[in-house]
Amino acid sequence: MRVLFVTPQLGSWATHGHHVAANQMHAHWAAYAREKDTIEPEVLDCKALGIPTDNMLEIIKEKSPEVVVLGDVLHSYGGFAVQWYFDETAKKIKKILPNIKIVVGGLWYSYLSKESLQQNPAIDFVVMGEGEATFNELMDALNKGKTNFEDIPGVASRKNGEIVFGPVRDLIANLDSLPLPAYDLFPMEKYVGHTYWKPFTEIVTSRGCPHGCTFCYEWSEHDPRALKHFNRWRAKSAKRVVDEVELLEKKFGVKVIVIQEDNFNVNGKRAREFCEEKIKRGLDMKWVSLGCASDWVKAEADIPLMKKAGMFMGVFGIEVASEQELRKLDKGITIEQIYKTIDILRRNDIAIVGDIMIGFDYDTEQIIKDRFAFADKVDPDILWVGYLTPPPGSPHWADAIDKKWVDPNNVDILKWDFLHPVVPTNHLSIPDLGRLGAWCMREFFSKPGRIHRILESNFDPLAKKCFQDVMNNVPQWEAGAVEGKLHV
Amino acid sequence: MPMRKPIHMTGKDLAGMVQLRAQDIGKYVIMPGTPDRLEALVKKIQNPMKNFSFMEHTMYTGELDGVRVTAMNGGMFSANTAITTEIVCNVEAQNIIRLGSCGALTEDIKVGDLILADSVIRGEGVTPYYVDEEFETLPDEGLTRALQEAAEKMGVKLHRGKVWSTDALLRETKEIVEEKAGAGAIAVDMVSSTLLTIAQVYKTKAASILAVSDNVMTGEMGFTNPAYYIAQTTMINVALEAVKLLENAKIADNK
Repeated sequence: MRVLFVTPQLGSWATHGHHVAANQMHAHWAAYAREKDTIEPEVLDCKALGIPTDNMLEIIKEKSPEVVVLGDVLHSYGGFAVQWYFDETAKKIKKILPNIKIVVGGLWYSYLSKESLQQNPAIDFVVMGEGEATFNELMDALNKGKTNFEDIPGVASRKNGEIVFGPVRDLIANLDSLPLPAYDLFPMEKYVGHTYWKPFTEIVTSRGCPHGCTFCYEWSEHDPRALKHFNRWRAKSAKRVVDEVELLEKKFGVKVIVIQEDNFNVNGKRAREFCEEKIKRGLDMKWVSLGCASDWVKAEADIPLMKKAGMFMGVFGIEVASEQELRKLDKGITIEQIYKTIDILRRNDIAIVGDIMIGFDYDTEQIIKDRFAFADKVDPDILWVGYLTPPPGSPHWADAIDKKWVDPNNVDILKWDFLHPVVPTNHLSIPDLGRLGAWCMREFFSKPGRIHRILESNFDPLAKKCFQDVMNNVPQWEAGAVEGKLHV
Repeated sequence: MPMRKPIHMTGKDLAGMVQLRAQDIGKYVIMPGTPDRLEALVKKIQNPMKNFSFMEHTMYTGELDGVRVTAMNGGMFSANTAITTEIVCNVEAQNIIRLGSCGALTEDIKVGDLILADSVIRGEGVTPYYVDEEFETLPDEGLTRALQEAAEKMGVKLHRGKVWSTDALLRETKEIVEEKAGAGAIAVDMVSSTLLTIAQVYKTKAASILAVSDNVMTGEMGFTNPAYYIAQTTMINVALEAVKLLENAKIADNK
């Protein structure tokens, strides 16, 4: 089966400048099915190559694949806003190549499989949840000329005009059983992080999360019948992750990676082994990782080792300002751990990105300003202000529908990128939230003392460049939040 | 009722009030405008000791490679700069280097560039109390040349020219700006003319170097542009390098 994995041309988060990385869903699915000899994969990354829609359609027509795959698993492409592009791409491809099969998966589509098939007739199949085995079996079925797919676990499809679902797909117990992502299919030299990090890519070394924050985007990438999968944290072994880093560094010349899952440090032993193995193999790759404050604190003794192994920036969620709120959001961290995280990373000259969220239903202007004051006091190097954007499958999604703040059949999805307010609170309108978010950004990024501290610090130059990139784009961020200007 | 003194309060009175004496300050007084910029400067001075803290102004004196250097946030406006300049001139400061910010008045000057004042247009309200209209305010040639050489040595882009100082930041109208640009001003700030004029009245050497925060002609705003903040750090480094150059030249002359 000739399969083309397509990412259309789209923008990036305002905070990320020029930011484009290999699509991890495509890289994993393609590698798995290719190893099973089920498909002949090809990748068309129009974002990386700067190919506009018309040219993309010409290229697809010329290649004339039997299947096109769309979707992604990381919110760093631009939250849910990318779904608009995937949806439109599906429609346009189907128009010029009506016999082609279109498969989608990953964020949004997984949880909203039924709605996606109902709303977009161009989509033939939705892969729900973890996709490798499901996609492979679907391709195998197509290879064999099958027309009935409801026995394939994890597949949503149409049968006689009705939408049907295969059984729930079990999770892959051993992620090391997956082949290395098929980076050879991608234009690896084109990938850039935060305008200045290049060659660059994002990688994913674990799946699921033990914390289950109520606002996390990952709720949306699970089969709606198996949301408990979200809390099943599984990881590739340290050696396997280093194999991937080695491939990226030695074969593709990648110099910077972001380990993009939400929580790299869940298993301290694995993180330690990763660092030791990476150092042992003499790999120079610089890296950024994300983690919960509770896990950063547990890793305190290993931070110098992480630094030695190339980590130059750590990302974590401050989110809110009180223990009560942290409990309410199932964050699983404490205020003390937030302070401690800042302390241990700063002591080791590792730059810190702290996130706060605004737009919870109980938020008032005072609460948001208090939350900002807390973040300002905690003093990360880069503040990322995100708007609560109810991820399908999350508790906030159901609440927002109940309150009629969201109509699942009419979502202005281009703004669902976490940088635009898309739902009000019980006390604030969407424009109020836009203004307050912009206020937070301006307050944070206009403190000369903070700016001097960072620019004069011992941070890796890559971290300083990232800081500058974010600062440069504060006006863009504000234009999105206040005026509704689109980023993605 | 007649006033009992010819002048209510002088720079000398203020210096006395904060217990500042000539021997307390360094040979070079570096005066950034804001406390944040002062903090960044003080980090680069060895063994800084606080001289005083008064209203929103703080002074430290330390060393730079064996030379005593004083750092003080002189203020962002002409009114408070007049006070701080008076204080340092009244304790016999020898050299004052102002580290400020400005808006560019030509399109080719970018946010993050540095400006070195060659002369000024006095547009603020303080200096008419010190000098008459014909007075020509000029920075010290030697100090200015040292800053130029320091920038060149560091590979820093520097523009030299006339700086217009105003009190009315929000009345930089098209008419007024074009008039000042037509008179040769390449930048506008709120401090240079006051500091340089008062220093000149006291016969104290002074120079003014400025980081470009925005471009008045194009409308480019730079207060979230990292280039502006990098320029502030660069400007501090240029001033310190100029001190070193002046001291090295003095050593060479003595040989």
